[in-house]
Amino acid sequence: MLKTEKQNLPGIQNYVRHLSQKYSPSLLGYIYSVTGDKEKSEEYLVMILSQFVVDFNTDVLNKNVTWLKLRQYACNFLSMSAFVSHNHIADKTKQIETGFPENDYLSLLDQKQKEIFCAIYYHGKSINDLATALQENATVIRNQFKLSLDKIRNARGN
Amino acid sequence: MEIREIIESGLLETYVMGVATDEEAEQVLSYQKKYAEVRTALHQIELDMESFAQRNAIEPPAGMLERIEDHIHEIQLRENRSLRKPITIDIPDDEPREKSNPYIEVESQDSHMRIHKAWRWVFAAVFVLGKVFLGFAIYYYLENRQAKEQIQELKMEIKQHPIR
Repeated sequence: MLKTEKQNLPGIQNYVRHLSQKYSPSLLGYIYSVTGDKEKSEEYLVMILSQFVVDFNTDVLNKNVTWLKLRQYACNFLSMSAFVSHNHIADKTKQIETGFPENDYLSLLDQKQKEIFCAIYYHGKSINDLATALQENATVIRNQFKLSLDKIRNARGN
Repeated sequence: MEIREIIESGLLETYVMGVATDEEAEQVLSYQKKYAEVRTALHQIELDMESFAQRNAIEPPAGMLERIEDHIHEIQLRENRSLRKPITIDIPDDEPREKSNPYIEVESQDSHMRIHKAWRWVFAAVFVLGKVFLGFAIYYYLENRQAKEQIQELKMEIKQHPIR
């Protein structure tokens, strides 16, 4: 009888299902915000979650995965792809706004805060790199990022 | 630095986002050990970021889990293959390559075989057709045997009652 090598998967299958059910929607929303392309986002979701399971199988098995860990992994993964151009932060902000109209929280932020928030949250830019790119002080960037998060949190009623 | 100042500085947000420098990360870790308020604030930021992501979530299409599982399987296979010893083929330098055997004999160590899911329908069809042909074969065999018996009976009758 023909046998496939999928037999080594069932051990981790339930954990993958749990991870996928818990984080796939959030991750797809995140990826779509970066890429602005639904089909590509689904492809990236498959690639990112699969590679994450392989790279962090112990965490997956121990159900020790947090959204922030997964988001950071996705951010690094996407920054290595063609979608993220680190030299065009402002353009990227524009793309996110137009490509994802449901992202109403972005409208709460002013232009500079949008640039900073998108560069950090979606593209994983460091404070220092951003400070150099925007010709600002690192403290200013950090404060602006905190302000943007506070605005979003307050809008949510936190 | 006072606790309030630490929380208001934006350092914790930077750390949670994974964009803090090594020095900043060390600072946060030491504050985290020292102050319960910092621990609570960090936890709150994590929760906020998670619910923020959930608010912008998009429901993936059906069959996404299967695609992920298939892809994990592909990655595992790829990694297993790359871990294996590379196959080396010794072709003597003096022997012209055109004259040597154009095919390379590769003996796989893997006892398993991967096939495309589409083949399951082919196998099912072959199985069903096999059963149909077997049924026909049995039917015609019995039919043939019955016909032979009838011929035999007729021959006997003819022998017993010859035509005058």
